[in-house]
Amino acid sequence: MSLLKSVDQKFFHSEIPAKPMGKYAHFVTIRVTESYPLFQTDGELNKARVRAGINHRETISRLAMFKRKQSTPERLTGRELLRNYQIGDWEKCDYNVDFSKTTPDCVLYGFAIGDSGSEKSKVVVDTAYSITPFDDSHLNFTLNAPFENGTMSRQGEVTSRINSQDHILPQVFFPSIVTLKDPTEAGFLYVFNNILRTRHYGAQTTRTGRVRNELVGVIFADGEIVSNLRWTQKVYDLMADRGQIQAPDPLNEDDVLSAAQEAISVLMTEECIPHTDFIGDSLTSLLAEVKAITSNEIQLRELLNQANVESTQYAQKYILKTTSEKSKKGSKKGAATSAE
Amino acid sequence: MIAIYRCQLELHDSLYYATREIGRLYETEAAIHNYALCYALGLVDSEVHGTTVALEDSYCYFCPEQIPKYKVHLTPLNQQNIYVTPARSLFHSSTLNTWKYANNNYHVEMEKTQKNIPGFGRTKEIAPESQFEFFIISEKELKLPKWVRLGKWASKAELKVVELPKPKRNQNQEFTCPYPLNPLDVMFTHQVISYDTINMPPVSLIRNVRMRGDFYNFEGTAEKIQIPARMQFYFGG
Repeated sequence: MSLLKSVDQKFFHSEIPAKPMGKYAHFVTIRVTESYPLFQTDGELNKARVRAGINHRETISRLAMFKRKQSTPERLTGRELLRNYQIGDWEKCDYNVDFSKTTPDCVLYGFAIGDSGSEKSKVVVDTAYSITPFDDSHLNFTLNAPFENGTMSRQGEVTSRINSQDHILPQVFFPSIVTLKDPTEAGFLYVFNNILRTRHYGAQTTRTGRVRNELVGVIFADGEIVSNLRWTQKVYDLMADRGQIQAPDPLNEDDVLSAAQEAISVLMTEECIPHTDFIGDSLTSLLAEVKAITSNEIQLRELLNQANVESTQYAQKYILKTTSEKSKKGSKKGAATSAE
Repeated sequence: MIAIYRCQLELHDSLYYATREIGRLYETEAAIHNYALCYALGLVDSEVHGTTVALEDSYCYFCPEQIPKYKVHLTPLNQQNIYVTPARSLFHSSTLNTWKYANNNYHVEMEKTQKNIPGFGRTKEIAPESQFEFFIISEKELKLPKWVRLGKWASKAELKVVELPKPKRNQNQEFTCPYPLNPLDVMFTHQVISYDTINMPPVSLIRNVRMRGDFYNFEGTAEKIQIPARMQFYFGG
């Protein structure tokens, strides 16, 4: 089955392979905050002190969006779809509690179950860093829980339900590359769809944290490409040299997207591996094709079914074989699991 | 003809693996084990490097059991005369993070845990832009990737490789090696006199080693580099 016309089938496997085979699809995205999300683990926003740009050598604090804070919501988006369309073992699969080991989610994003083995993730996400410094990208809000009448006191009793919390501002940009190893076409579309659909990231207060993913490119290669950090630093350089970073104003999205596109194109010329880039016009046609499939219920069902057929076949071939027979695996410290 | 490469790794993401577990705190030591580096550099079970292993031991996405196969995976590197030393930190900083398992039920209640699996904890990780250095001793010219992934979170790091000038081999003399070494790989070919230990699994490393045996040195490097010769992965038996 071939769903995409604009992508050469040579970039995809016909079935999910057991070993890393050196086919990589990189989704080059910019995550744009649209409300006041929270990315924190210890009661304060996650930050990293890194160099501002490749040429701008000064050190700045940046907001950090950890790997699993990106991949988990995307996984859950896919799992929700599988449940909605009742695909495969959707009923038997309980995230982080009891994986069925057969769904596209289990096989593509991986799992680790103490005594019944682990599946390394084929989707790898890296920590994303804000382009702008921490100081210009966050704000401290007070939050309170009032009484029924909307005030903080009742019959002389004043409640102490009041606190303050740092929030990330809207229009903060996080360049982020999502890497999918050894994709089949259906697997590629499954992950693509999750990236396009996921709208909320960060603390699950569910009322904030809206984020939009803007695709800058899709790159097929036979290995890893440039890091989020290097790409972010390049974007910073380009925008700073053009005078487009005017703290404390938010960045202009058009400026960011054009700088991001230019930066990734320049950085890709410095890579020493063969790669095929879908950036600019070629991306537009690929994106239109993908959206046509994912927005049509019949085609979406077909796609999810196909992804499930592939993941189930993989599971039967490699995972569900009696684990008592010392089967065919090497193991390495640390299995890909997804926490957060 | 032996070539020795000096490799620098720059982290572009925070690096985590559990060197020490102290209750719910998991700490990352600022040294990277040479076994880990072999996997990260793609030297294990590779057709390109001529280190393929038997099908039942091959390196796959699915692991039925959490038992490492260092001996099976790394012995082919000895046959190809490829040796990687552990990495030391050139400079680094640490960050503390809390992690927890996600849950996507609308209604959540605290339940008694069914299994002894930690649901949350804190990790002490090595921060991005920290730098590490290690050496590769190889008979053949190696083509290595520019970007590698390390540790539990598969964190991206940039690899820069510089070939050192032609090594000069010295026979059976006493010398000092400041770099971290894997004791198993040198103690059978050298007489180890004194050292500092870095405790970590699966084999603790030693550094600042005073030892006697064969070693390589180089002319024309900015600093004095002395690396033990005849090192190879050793697993006993």
